[in-house]
Amino acid sequence: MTNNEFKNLVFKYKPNENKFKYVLVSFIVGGLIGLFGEVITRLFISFNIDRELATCYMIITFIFIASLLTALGIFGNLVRKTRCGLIIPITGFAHSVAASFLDNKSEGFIMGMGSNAFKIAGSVIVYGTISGFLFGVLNLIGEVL
Amino acid sequence: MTCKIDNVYINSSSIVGGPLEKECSLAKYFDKLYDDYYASGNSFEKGQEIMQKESINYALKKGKYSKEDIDLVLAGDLSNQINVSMLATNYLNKPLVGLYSACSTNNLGIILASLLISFNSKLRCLITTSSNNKGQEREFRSPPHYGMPKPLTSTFTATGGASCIVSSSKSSIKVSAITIGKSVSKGYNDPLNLGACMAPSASLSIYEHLTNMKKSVNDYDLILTGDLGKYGSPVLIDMLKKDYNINIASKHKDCGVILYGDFPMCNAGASGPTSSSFVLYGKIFNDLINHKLKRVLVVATGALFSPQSVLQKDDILGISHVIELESV
Repeated sequence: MTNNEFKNLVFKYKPNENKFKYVLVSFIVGGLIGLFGEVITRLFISFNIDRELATCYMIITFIFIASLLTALGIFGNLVRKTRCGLIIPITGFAHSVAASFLDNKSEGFIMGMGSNAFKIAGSVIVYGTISGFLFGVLNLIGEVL
Repeated sequence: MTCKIDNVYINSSSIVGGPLEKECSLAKYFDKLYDDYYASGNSFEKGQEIMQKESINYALKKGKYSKEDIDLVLAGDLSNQINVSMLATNYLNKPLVGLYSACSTNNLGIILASLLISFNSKLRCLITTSSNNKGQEREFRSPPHYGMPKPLTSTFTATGGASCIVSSSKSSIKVSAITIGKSVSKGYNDPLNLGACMAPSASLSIYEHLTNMKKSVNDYDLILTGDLGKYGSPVLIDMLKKDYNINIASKHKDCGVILYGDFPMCNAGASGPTSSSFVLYGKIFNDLINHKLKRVLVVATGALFSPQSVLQKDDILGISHVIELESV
């Protein structure tokens, strides 16, 4: 059997995943998180905090809730069920750092938790910063022209 | 390479499992089951070591052996530098051979022990292996607490330890032949569909064993593969039919599907060196002792890759070692 014939055979038996269901679940869960975020922001605003600061507080609240749920072992199971709905918002970022922390607890504070904390989130930070810089330059060029 | 083995018997075996094994249909065959992946240790690796040690102790106890009766230890698992097995067998203070053949480590151990016993019939060998789902998850994939969503073709590493004692003193289970497999790649490199990556090697090893032994599929009551899972098994059956005109469909079962096939969260089934040994040492040995099965072909399948080789887009090699067991 040639390599190509083999590949065709594998694809013949590969199960079709219900991608539409995943997208729908992610959309609903992500949307609910957005709604929940807005409710929390409004709650902070009602305490006479201006909107910009209230948004920061909302994000901090989310980071806290996600990290706590990760530590309690709940968030991982939720991610498995809800897929990108929980990974894409800030909750996913917090979760990835907390999960990496927990994962390397047995190797100690420095070489374990400290150096592995951004194992998953590291790429987001690196490419987030680079793209931030590039768009900043584009913005500058646009303003000059 | 196929060899007929004359005078080697399985004297005692033991399996110790984790939380999912407790819920699976084979739970009654386990000597001990733990509620979590730590097994009272402070890390996943420690938990795995404890489970492996426990399985060694049970194997000795069930065969009424003391650790002084063991001449040689063959141990291996999936942890980095097979360190868990080395630590777990240290207390025996016996000559030690470390093995790595991914999920077929267990069969390789039985094969080497059989060959050594054929060479020196006084030897009594202990073969032991272990794995821990969470430990392997963090070694090969992403942090276990992350809960990374996986495709349906992915497998779920089994948790626990498995040990058996092999020697030339007679028992109900005889090792009658072995085949050491070749590493095979068909250029398909999906680490989340390892069943398909290993199927070509299983097909080659089964073909070589049957040809060299001059036997047909009908000579066996059961052909058992290690961890091809739900989507790798049909690939194997089709390959054997197409390449060698061998039809194993009616005799074939897969350990991964038997062990974890009922759990939706495990997707394609169980994997790891313990996947094949749990089913083999538990159900199959029992059936061989009770003469429910006469002759069984066990094809343990392993995928040879590292976390780095996958990212560097290297080939994932499959390797399958075969042992033939007879009820006497």
